[in-house]
Amino acid sequence: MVLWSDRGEVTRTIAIGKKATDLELVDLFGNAKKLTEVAPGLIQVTLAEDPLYVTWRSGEPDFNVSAPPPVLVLPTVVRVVPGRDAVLPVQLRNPGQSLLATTLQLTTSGVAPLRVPAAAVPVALPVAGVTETLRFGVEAVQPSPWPQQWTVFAPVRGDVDLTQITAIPATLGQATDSVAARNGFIVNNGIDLAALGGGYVERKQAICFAWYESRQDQTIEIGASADWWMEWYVNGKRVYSTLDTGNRGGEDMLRHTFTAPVQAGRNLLAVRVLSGSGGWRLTAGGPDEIAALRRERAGERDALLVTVRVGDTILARESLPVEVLRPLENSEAKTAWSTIAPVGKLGTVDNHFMAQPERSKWYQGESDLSGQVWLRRRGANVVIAIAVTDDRAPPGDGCRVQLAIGPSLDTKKTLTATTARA
Amino acid sequence: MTWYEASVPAADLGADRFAIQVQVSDDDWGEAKQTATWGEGSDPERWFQSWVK
Repeated sequence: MVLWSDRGEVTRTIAIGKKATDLELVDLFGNAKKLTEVAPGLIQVTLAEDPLYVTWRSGEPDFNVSAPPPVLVLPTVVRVVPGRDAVLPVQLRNPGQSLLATTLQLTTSGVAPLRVPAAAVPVALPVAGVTETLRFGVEAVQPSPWPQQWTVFAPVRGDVDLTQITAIPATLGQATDSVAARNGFIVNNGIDLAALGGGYVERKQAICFAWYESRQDQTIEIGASADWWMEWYVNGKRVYSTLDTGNRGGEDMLRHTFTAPVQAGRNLLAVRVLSGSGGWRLTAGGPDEIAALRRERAGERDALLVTVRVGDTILARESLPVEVLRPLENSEAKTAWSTIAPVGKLGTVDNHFMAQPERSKWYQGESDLSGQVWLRRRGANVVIAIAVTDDRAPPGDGCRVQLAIGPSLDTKKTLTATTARA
Repeated sequence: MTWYEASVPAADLGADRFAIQVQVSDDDWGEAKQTATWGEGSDPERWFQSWVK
């Protein structure tokens, strides 16, 4: 029998009939190993794209060898809310012709603090199969102390000595040419300085400040990149600079990683960013963000490992990705939206006239159409705010905002402009 | 910049999570020239937000 998988690595149980002897598994290179039944008449093989060869001496020459449907069927992903039990439906199929005494166990991989039952659950698996429900949960995780809101001054003319600044100023620059502070929020790990600084030409200067709260005296790792030059200060001490070299590549939080000492309590982060010829951005994260990105790039993920055993033998094992849902922040106070972090920005613009010769209808950039979205829980309601930038030229040129929200996205409603607090 | 705001009773959104999608169209005499969408990924299943505190 020759077996392979064209859907990545899978573990399958195969019925070969009872009383089989001389079971052997041989790989593509001729390496042979003995194979044992996982239950009478059943073998289990982990398959990938390279073929595996299984040979045996049959105890039931008339038996019709078959690969029954997988023993273990799981959802593609399971989502869990911190502090609440999640229910995982586990469908078990019996690959044989007789009742199997199995156990079902949950273990975890990754770094999310998942809580799973310590003991395996005994499951009598009838020929017809059975659906079990397992409960698990996830602890609330301490949020990253890396600042999501920065105070940005852009553009700033002239030299600013960041070794002499010990608190976030209200204005920056020389008296006749001073710049007021603006809020810059980290979205997709970065701050769009061009949007805050009124566009870019090469070597415009932005100064960004934020407080970093540390629980103890320690040295932290910072990951950053800029479009295009940057210089970092922590508590007035210069800790990293690319002013001589530029960014040396595209936007990537792991492009420049460096360490900086911080003390227990508040620490002032200050970053000078000079714009490039094609943009003006700062990308940055602290130890938690760096660790998460490294894990993501290494292919690591938070997962539940579901194992079905017959005695000590593994009948099936599958890994199930776990997503921890973010709680929506509760905000009773009527805060101006622009002073709190948005949950996202409007994504890629889909231009319906790109293939047409009518250039006036082509997308002209962020001033043509862009926007941000805020979400907050307020009392018994969920409040959504959307700020849209669109260089309208009435009459005829307008903007339409549609919102779908609820247990499903079936119903959309069109919103009218409000005088919401900017 | 134009602001739009909506308030939805949390009780209408499901037990502890909900789906959300925002789509903005730049219209020319009622016809969309371009649209931009916010949601978490292209899979509607991923657009769920948790609202529990």
